[in-house]
Amino acid sequence: TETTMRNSDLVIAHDQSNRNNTDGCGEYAIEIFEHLINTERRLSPSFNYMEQVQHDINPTMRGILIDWLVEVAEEYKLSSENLFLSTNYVDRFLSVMPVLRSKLQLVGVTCMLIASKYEEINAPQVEDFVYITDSTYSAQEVLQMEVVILHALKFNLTAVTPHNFLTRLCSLLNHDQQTKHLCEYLT
Amino acid sequence: MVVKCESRVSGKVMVVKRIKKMPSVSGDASDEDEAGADQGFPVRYLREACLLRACNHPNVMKLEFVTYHEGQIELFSEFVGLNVEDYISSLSDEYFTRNKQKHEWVLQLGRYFMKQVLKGIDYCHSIGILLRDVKPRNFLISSDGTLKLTGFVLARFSLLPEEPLTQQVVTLSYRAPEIILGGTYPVYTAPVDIWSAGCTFAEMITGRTLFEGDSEIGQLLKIFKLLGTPSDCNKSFCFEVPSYIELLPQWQPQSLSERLEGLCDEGVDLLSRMLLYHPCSRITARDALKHPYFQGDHSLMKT
Repeated sequence: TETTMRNSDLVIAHDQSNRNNTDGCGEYAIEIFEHLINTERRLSPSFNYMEQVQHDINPTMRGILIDWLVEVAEEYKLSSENLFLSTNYVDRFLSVMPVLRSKLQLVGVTCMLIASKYEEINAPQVEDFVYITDSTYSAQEVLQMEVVILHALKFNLTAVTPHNFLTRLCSLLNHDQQTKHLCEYLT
Repeated sequence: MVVKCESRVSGKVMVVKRIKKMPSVSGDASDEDEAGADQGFPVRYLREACLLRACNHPNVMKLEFVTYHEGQIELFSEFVGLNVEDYISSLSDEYFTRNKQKHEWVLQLGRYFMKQVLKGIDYCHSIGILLRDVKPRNFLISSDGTLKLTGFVLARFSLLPEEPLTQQVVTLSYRAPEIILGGTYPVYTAPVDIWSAGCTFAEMITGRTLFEGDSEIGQLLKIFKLLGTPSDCNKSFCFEVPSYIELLPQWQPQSLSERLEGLCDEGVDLLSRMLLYHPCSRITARDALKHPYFQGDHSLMKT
């Protein structure tokens, strides 16, 4: 208990020194992260949806989809937070809705569209996302899928990603940018 | 368009904000470039909807659910009445003149409302939401006198304070100086909401907008005229300010208590802490709620 105590003291001390930084939200940091942990519990995908919900797709396909989303994010210079959010949306959507393998890429790209709208200052256009699928799907299909996904996620888009915690931890441990990027890569 | 409705299932009275999307241009390819292609659910309402969904606090408007069919978006939220701006302008001038019983009542009401304004902001900051559009118009008064914070169109979830954000936020009259001076992608965070809350506070007491500029520079001039031109700008703000600021007239700070006639000393002190130039010395919502101005029992008396 003593070490925990000391650790939390350290955290508080860090937040107080951060108060003089431009970020200025040190005072709220601990509460924000308590809230994040609660939200993470609430807005997580089910762990066994591949067996329980899906019939036509398997974990390998999901893996390929996520790898492809990483490339899309790179192509359009989307933030890593965006990528984590997209993955969360994909998994949560797949937790409630069975999807045909032919539509899996559509789900992925639409989730990324929603995450971009939520997260980016200058989000790519619907056409950009159609283009990146080599026009496998039409803009119309993407927009229809957007409606379905938004309803399935019940507009709970403020999901919590590993990235949120990572930023906090790196800031606490005074890691430099390089360490941070390595951590990002590992997650 | 906003309409009132009653749920057939629960009997709950709700407000529906119905948003018609731009007419879809698909199928009319020739116009597509001009009108801009259909982008699906608009970004601003997407953020408003999902951030309101993330909130659960008595001073934040509760968004019950959202529907989206064939380009029409409907946001169903709990029923609330007038917004504070309309309420203030519905009061006659004599409510804001000194030495009248009515003015005394406005001062009490100001304190009563301000406490709730800060509670709402405190909650949002504590879950990582930056509001970026705090103003009297975005506080709705429910029938029991509770204020409900709304207007999340510009809000965002921000945990990465070092990340630059867009400048096009906060209604000009309530915009904090660090946004105006910060260039295209200024770095700012929670204190911008406190600045706006300070402006809201003054407006509730005087019935007039505190700083009413017609442009960004005009806004800055209005601010400096009342609060004084900062002598050393790079020290007063936490970043490099544009050089034109040196050319502005040097004003001395005016007395806030004169501007806010009748407001008690504690109230003036609180306001001055909310309107500090340096974002980090500006009081937080949490500390503002602990300020002597709110100590003691200040329940509202009916007149």
